[in-house]
Amino acid sequence: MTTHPVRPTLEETPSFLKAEHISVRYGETVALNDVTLHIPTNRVTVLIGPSGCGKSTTLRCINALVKTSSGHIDYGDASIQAMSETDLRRNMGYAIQSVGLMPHLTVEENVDLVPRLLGWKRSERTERVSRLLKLVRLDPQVYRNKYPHELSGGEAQRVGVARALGADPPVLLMDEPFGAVDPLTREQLQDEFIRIQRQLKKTVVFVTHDIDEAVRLADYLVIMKDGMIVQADTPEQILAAPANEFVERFLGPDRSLKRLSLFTADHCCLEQVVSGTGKPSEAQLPRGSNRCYWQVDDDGKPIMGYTWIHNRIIERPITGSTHTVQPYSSMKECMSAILSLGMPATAVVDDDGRLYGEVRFETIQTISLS
Amino acid sequence: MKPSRPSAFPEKPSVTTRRDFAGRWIVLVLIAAALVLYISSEQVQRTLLSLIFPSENQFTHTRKTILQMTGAHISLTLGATLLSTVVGIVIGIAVTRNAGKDFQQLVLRLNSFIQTFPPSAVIILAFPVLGFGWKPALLALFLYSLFPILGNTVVGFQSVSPAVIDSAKGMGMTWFQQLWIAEFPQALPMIFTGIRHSYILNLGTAAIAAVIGGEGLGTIIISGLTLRNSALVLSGTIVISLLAFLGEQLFHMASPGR
Repeated sequence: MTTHPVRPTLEETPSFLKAEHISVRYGETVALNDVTLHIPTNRVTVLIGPSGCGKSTTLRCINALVKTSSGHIDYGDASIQAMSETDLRRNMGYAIQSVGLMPHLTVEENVDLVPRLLGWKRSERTERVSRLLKLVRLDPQVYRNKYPHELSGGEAQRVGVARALGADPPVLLMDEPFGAVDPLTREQLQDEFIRIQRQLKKTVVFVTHDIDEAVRLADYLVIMKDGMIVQADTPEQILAAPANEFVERFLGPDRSLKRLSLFTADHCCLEQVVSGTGKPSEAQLPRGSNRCYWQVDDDGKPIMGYTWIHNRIIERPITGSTHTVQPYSSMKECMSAILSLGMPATAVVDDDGRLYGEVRFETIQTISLS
Repeated sequence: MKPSRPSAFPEKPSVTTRRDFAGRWIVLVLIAAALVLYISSEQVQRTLLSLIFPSENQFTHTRKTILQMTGAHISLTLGATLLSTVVGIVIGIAVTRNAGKDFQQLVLRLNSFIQTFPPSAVIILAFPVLGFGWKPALLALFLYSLFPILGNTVVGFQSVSPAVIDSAKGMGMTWFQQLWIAEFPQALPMIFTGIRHSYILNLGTAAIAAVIGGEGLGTIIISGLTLRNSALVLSGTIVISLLAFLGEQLFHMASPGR
C-alpha cells in the first residue's frame, strides 16, 4: 500500500544519447542554435515549445533525417555522423503524427517492416507481430490482415507505435504521435503509452505542443523557444519553479491542476477498501463516517458506492468508465471521477474491471499542498 | 524479400467477385476466338465483308495476308510499348528522386512537347536517317507513347504521401528499399494505366507505319484508301479494333488493385 505520492525522480542517469552544441541552419534561417541535450536513458524526454521552436528539428537530428550544421550527437561511444544512417535508424523506433503506414501493406506487414529490413527469421517475426499488436491492445486475429484505410485514427496510431517498437529498439523517437487524434482517443493512447513504457523502459524522445500531454508523460521536460532550450528539468521542478515568464505563460494559469497529471492513481491508491457483495452493515460503514463502501458483483466489479453525507447514507450507482479509474490513470482523471460520482473517493479497478482500491479526495488534496 | 502486394485505391477495397472474373474470362475468350477466326481464314473475311459491301469484288490484299500484317502490327505495337514502358519508368523514377527533381519540369515539358508532333511527321523526318521499314515507325510510336507512361509514372510517385516517405526513411530503409517497398507499389496502378493508354495509342498509330513501308495493318487500310475500296479499310480496322478490345480486357484483368 502506497499512501504517499511517489514519482520516480530523475537521478543522475547515465545517458548514451547526447547532443553537444548542435546547430541547424538553412541558409540565413537558424532552426537550431547551439543546443546541448543529454537524453536520460530508459526515461521519457519530452521536447515542447511553440511551433518553429526547433523541437521536431532536434528530434530529426537524432536519427539523421536532418543534418546538423555544427556540433555532434553521440550514440554510445560513437558519433552518429560516423554511423551508417540506415543502421542508426533501424536502432531507433520512429513514430510520427501522420503515422505514415504503407497503404498497400497490411497491419502485419507494416509492423513487420523493420524486423524484415534487419533480416529476422520469418517464424520469429510472426510471433513478434502478434506480441506487439497485443502490447498496443489490438487483437492480432482481427487486425493482422487489415489495411491501413480500414483503421480508425487511434487504431492507426497504435499500429504506428507497434511498428516503431518492431525490432525492439532501445530508443524511441516520437514526433507528436498523438497530435492528430480526438482528445478522448489521445487520453487513451497516453494511458497506453504510460503502461507500455512502464513495461518496456525505453529511452524515449517525445515531441509535443500539448503541455498537458508533456506534463503527463515526461520524466524530463525540455522547453524550447526560437531554436534554443529555455528550461530543462523534471516536470515537477518546472511546474514548481518556471525559469522565466515565457515558461510560466507556456505552462498556463492552471499549474496546480496540471501538477495532478504528474501522478497516477496507483501512487496514492489505497488498496485496503471496505467492500462486499451486499449493502453495507453498520460495522462496514459507521454512521457519520466520511469513508466509502463499495458494493461489488460476483466478479468483483464495483456496482454501487455508499457514503455518509449530511447524516444520511447516499448510494451512487457506478455506471460507465467515467466513474472509476485505473491504476495508471492520472490524478486529474481521479479528480474528475470523484466529481462525477459525487463521493469523497473513487474506485480504482484493474484491467478486468475488478475493484482494486480507492483514491480519496483528501489524498489528492495533500498532493496539491505538498 | 517477398514482393509487396500493390493495391490501387486504398479507399476503395477490391470488390471483384468470382462472377465478375468469370465474365471477364468469357469476354476475353470470345474476342480472342473472333480474332483468330477472322485473321486465319480468308474465307471468313470474304464472307463477312461481302455481306457489308456486296458491290465490291476485292476483299483481300493482293500481296499479303491479314495474318502476316497482324503479326507485324502486333510486334510493332508491343515493341514500342515495351520500349516506352522501360524508358518512361526509368526517367519517371529519376525525376522524382531528390537528385533528379530539378529536371522534372523540363522533362515533363519536353514530354508534352513531343506529344504535339504528329506521328506521321516524325516518321517522315526520321526516314532519311533510319531508312525505310519498321525502324522510323518504331521511333515515332516510341516517342508518341512515352507521354502517358512517363507522365503517369511521375504522377504516381508524386501521389505517395510525404508521411509514408518520412516514415520509410525514419525506419532505416535504403534508397532502393524506399523506392521498391514504399513507393513503387503505390505508384504502380497509375503506371499501369499509362501503359494501357500507350498500348491503345500505339495500336492505332502503328497503321501509319505503312506509309514508309512498315508492314502492319496500315498496309491494307492504305491500299483500301487508294483503291477507294471500303471493304479493305474495314478489314484492317476490324482487326485493330479486336486487338484493342483484347488488350483492354487483358490489362483490366492484370491490373493491380482492381
